[in-house]
Amino acid sequence: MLALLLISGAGAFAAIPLKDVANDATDPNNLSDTEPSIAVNPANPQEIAIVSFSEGWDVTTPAPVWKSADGGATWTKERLIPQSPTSASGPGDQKLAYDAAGHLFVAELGFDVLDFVARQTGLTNTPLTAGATYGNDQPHIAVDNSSTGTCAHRLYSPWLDTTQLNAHSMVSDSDNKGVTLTTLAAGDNAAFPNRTTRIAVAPDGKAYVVYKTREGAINSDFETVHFRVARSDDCGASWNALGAGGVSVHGTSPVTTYFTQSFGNSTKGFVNRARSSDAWIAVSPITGAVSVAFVNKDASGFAQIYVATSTNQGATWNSERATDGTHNSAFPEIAVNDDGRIGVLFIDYDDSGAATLFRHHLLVSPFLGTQWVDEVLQTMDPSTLSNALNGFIWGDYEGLTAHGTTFYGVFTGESIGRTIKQLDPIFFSAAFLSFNIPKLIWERDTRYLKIPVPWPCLQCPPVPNFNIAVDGDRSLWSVRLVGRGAERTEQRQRRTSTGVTIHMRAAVKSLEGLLLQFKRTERARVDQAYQVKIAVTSAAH
Amino acid sequence: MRPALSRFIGVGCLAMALATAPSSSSESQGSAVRSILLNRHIWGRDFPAALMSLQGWRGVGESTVAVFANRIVGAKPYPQREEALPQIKRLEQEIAKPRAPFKAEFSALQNATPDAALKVLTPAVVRFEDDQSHRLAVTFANAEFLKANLTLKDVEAELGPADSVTKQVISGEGERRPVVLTLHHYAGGAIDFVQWDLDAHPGRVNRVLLAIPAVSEMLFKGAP
Repeated sequence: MLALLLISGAGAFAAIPLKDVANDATDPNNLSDTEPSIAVNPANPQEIAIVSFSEGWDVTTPAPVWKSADGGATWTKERLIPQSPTSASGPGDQKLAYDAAGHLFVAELGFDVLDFVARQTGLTNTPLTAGATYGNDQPHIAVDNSSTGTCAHRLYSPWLDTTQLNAHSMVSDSDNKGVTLTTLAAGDNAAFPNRTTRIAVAPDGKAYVVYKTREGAINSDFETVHFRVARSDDCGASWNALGAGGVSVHGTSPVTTYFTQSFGNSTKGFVNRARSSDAWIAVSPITGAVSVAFVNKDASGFAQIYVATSTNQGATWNSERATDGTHNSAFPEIAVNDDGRIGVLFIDYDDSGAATLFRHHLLVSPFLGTQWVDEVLQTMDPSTLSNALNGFIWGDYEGLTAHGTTFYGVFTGESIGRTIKQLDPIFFSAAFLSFNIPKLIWERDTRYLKIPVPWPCLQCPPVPNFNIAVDGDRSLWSVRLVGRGAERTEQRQRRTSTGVTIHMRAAVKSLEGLLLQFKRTERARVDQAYQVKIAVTSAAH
Repeated sequence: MRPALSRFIGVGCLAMALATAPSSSSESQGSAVRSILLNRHIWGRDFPAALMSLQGWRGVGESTVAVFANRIVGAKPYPQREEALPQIKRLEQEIAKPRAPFKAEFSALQNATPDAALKVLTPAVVRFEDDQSHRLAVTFANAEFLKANLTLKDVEAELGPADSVTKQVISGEGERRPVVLTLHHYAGGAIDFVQWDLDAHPGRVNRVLLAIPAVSEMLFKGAP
């Protein structure tokens, strides 16, 4: 079931298998299963959870979570999410997360526009327990799983306060798994209303939110915005580590994004509203680099997906377009895997024919975010699907996450193998090959590593800086040092009869805590091991 | 959305005139309404009280009521609670007014619900989650207006398939998901059995919409 991603040709993946999470037995009422979200249990990656708009909850019957215990090969519908503490109907907006111990959490919006966190207190697949209500519209959730510091296990839930004159991006946090939460403003709404608050937590415990300031309508479909990132270094006690209001990820000039009821071509079929999920944030679990995907209608004339990355904890950003400038694109979700690859799930549409065709894509950056490979996961005409709703086809957002070197995603797409063709939650996983030694603590000595990649590689892409080109065959290695002072690393590489020797030199005084990361060639195949000799010295010594 | 209901409202006077010389279509609709109202396997024990309150609802300007398992809710949305509050007393008064008796064929329903039951129907303003509006509602303790856990399959087993099925999408404020109602139209749209996409049990009937003019015409002696 799991996709093993091998590069098979220029700029394309092998097809990524898709799995319909629902079937006729688990979805007998043919529900639309819109706005899906996904989480992978870090303590057992075979356990995957998905929520979508399926059945509701009531006082005696929890709402469902789709669960897989075999890495996504098979799925069951478990009634786990309790009714809102206020007895409001629901679910409304919802988002999943696991903590490091493998406990499931769900942030939920009741129809009284109050949020709550439902937490796992028992065994897997036993009903969750609701915490106190908080917040307002569009709750999301993240748990600090990586940190061993004072913020370890902290739960964060960003949301949008629509009760203020200018809507305000807020974050509630909890040190008791959502039993109770404390709320603080994260965005700056002094001049403009906020929207689209999404969160990610870095391995060092710093928490980041991206939000937008809505700075004026351009027309009925687009508006001017800044996408800004705010950071908390104190477990959510304040959100001004990057200054009040945070830092724009695309510089001082605003960008143009959707604010429309009509993403698509309404004269050629169904459309979807696009008002609030035009940005998403993720942090590298290894390096802590922060990445934001956002929508920008640029000179191409199309709304495009951009990715901005910061390697200095959000202080400065480099932004680049990730899509090809040929179709209107929106709804980006971003994740970063343990190899530092960035994955972006997004939707575009093609209205060149008689009907508007919506396409779910997965973009992956094979080389440190500098090149993007695009895979169309599925193309659909929702007007042909029995339960599709014009205006709310898939909802406001979908799901993408990463664990290890694998991306896991879910989108609301055309059913597979159902008696009645309909919208269903469609799961995919995209596993990338890894060295198994993605990082090495720099110990100021010489190391010999067995790296399981053949040599030479005959079909490699152009060689960027600091990658290895050996004997003209353009086989490709990428090695870099990560950490303060390592930016000025010098690197020399030389092929030997059995592998390659890499010599690195950096202008730092202390080598403690620096990481040595390897990036393999995307076109290599795993069938042999070759020896790489790595010598690291410090220019400061 | 409700063409049949609109037709009845729009031609109310005509409907009165035709009461003595009903057309075949109105006869058919009337027959269907009667059959549905008298069905013993759809309604809860307090349904007759809901029917008796219809003229009161009409008195406060409602043309449709939604009969839930344990409450009756008006169709008219009030954006602000303050706008709806004055209607509570008025609804209470309208329900308490002397009303036309049921026609003979519904006498069993009348006998099952003495007028005293109406006095315990408690009007209130409720926040209606579908569209976050404020609505008038009446209920009383342990009310049972619909058969417990009534499903569409139950309805179809009793009444046959619906005349037609339509969907109604209700978008709320903010980014909350829209509510989708699936309306199964019976009796030419005079009575709709409704599924609600937030139901914990999707096959269940969440509410029944009664078009007050059409149902009243069939139910009450001398009703327009």
